[in-house]
Amino acid sequence: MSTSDLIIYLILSLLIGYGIGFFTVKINHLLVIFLGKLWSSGNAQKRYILVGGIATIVFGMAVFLKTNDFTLTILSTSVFAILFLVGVKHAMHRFNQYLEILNALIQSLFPKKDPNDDQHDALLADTSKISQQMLESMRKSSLESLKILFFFFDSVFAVFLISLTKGKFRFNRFVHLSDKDQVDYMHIWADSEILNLAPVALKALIGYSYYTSHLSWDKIGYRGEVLRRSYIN
Amino acid sequence: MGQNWLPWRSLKEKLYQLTALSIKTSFDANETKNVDVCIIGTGAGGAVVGYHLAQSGLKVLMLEKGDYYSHDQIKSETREENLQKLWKNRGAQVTRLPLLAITQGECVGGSTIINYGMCFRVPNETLQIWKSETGVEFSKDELHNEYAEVEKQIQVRKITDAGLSHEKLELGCKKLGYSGNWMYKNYIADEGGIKQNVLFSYLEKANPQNLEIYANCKATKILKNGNKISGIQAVHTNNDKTVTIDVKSTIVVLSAGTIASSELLLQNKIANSSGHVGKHLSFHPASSVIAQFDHVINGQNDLSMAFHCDEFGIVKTKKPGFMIESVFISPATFSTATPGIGEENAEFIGKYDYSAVAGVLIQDEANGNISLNWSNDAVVDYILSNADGEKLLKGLKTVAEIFFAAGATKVITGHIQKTVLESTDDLSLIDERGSGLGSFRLVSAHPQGGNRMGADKKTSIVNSYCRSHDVENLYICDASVFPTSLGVNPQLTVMTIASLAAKKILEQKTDIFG
Repeated sequence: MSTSDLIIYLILSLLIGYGIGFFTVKINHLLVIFLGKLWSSGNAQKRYILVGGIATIVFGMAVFLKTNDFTLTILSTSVFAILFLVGVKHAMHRFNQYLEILNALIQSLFPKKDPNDDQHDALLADTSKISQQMLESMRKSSLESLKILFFFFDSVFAVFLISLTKGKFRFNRFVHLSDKDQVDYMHIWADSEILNLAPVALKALIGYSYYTSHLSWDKIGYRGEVLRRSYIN
Repeated sequence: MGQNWLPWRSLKEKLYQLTALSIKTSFDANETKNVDVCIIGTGAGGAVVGYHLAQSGLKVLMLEKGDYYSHDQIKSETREENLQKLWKNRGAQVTRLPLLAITQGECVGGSTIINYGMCFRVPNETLQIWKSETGVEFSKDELHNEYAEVEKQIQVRKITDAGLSHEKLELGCKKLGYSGNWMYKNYIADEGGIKQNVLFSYLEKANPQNLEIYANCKATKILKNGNKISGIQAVHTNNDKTVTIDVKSTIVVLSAGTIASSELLLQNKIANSSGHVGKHLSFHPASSVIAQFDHVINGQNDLSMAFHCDEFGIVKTKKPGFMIESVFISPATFSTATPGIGEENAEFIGKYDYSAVAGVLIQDEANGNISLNWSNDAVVDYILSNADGEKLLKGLKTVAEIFFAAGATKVITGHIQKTVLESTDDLSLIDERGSGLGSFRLVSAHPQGGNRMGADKKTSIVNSYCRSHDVENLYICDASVFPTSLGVNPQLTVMTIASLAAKKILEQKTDIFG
């Protein structure tokens, strides 16, 4: 086994292990959406261990059958297993960042015009709180759908590809784009006939929460009557 | 839900709230109850049945998944997000493909607490469809006599002085020669008009010695013994502690509402020899049209809903069509009904006080379906049929015409894609948008079906008086028993059918209860 072959095998182990780990989490979320199963984190972790175990054995066998090299098999399988774990951890971390993405979306939809406007900060905090309350009240499968949407919307892949359709080169996550680029990226989604369902869903959540907050009412001259009147009068 | 919503709440819970209702919202230990009647759900159907049976001397226990909110609590609440707790999933309930938002109440009083209280009798044409499609047996006279009684109890009256935002729809209809009228609503004139709900109209009028309500209790298991239900198991969860309530009763009335009633039957594999539980679901899907005027309308001071145009409804056209209803909505809903994001959307919101709003409500085909996912939770599948999509498109176009006739300067239709019309010359834009999948922003406040009534046990779940074909002591009393969509707001019909069912039970009281 040459050094270059060794490096190729290790790189393959690294990429495939990470990719399978990462997408196992993603597929698990899709399963929750379509089948409603494996919601609890305990079940999810068991599933990751099972998939990781099987994938590592299959990968190890494939390497051994191909190379007949026991040392290389052990080495590349170890790298595979570690990177599978890294992929799972990374994907789980990203999925758990949906609140960070939500807050970035809120800030890009309702930008602060006056740096000294403390009321605006309070309003955005309230919007975030109300949005989270709504998310927590949703059926788990609907929440998973939204998390996937947040995840995809924020991903480097989506930012790159969707910005490219307008001839713009961006290679960053949504949360790391500049304020101007975030707004522009949102508008590419909103103006697209194919993609516009996503901003409609996000707006339904964020816009609804923003205008539910009593802190937004003075600006539009609303006195808070309609919802209460509909219960009372 | 709402455990510490108001400062006095925890104290009130400890006191086993003794209002006009006998209601309990918190449970420390497992309980077993023996009653004559166990009712699951306290909305329009359950409350009516509970009232009649309790007044006849039967011991009734009502289980409610949601919390209890008194009128005073609701009235004193200033934060609207707290009122969202009265809604199932805080209003964020959607179909599997998230193209339709479904709103339902989840509190003592059910959807009657959150709805606008509009009252219609079932159109005779719809009743004829029910008779011909599933063999519904009650006569028109029998039904209308019951309607009259319910209307008296819930104080139905014609709306007057609704406000300018609603008068715009009336004006446009008059100019175009379209049939329309002010709707009927259950309200009393005190204090500027108090909308009635089943808490006022039925539950607080029932004898509290005979009728008990357990709020925050979710019925989970239906235990069966042969051809009868032997017990109901409900759970109450508080601070991660789960308390079980076991109920033994002679009869069970399932009134958890469309979707939840079918879900419970499917979860417990009961009353479904026909295989039709969860099928034949309809929604009255609605989309909105917002009209901007060059003068202040100030709709936020108006009633929530008031005028309707029935020119294209089943009564006039003799086939399922669409209704147009004037409605005024909160800025939060207004935001979701107007196009654009961020700044662009804010421009539309800026015209809030210059706007009037109407909804187009389709009498849709009953092609929805409820199934259970692997976690045993209900999943709703529903896609607007092509014919219904065309009806909705025509409806939106008609409302745009009506509002322009009333003097609107701009009309915004409920399409996903931004559709803003400046005059009737732009109406063709609505046709261009089409009615395909995902064309409209859709919302349903009227889910119906899933446990439809009929004469044939092979194709229906209950008979015309809501008794299960399969299970001797099970009755289902909510909108889930409607064989097809009504074509009008369903609250009054749910109450009336429940009232008929209650009276049928009482006719057989000696046979059933001994």
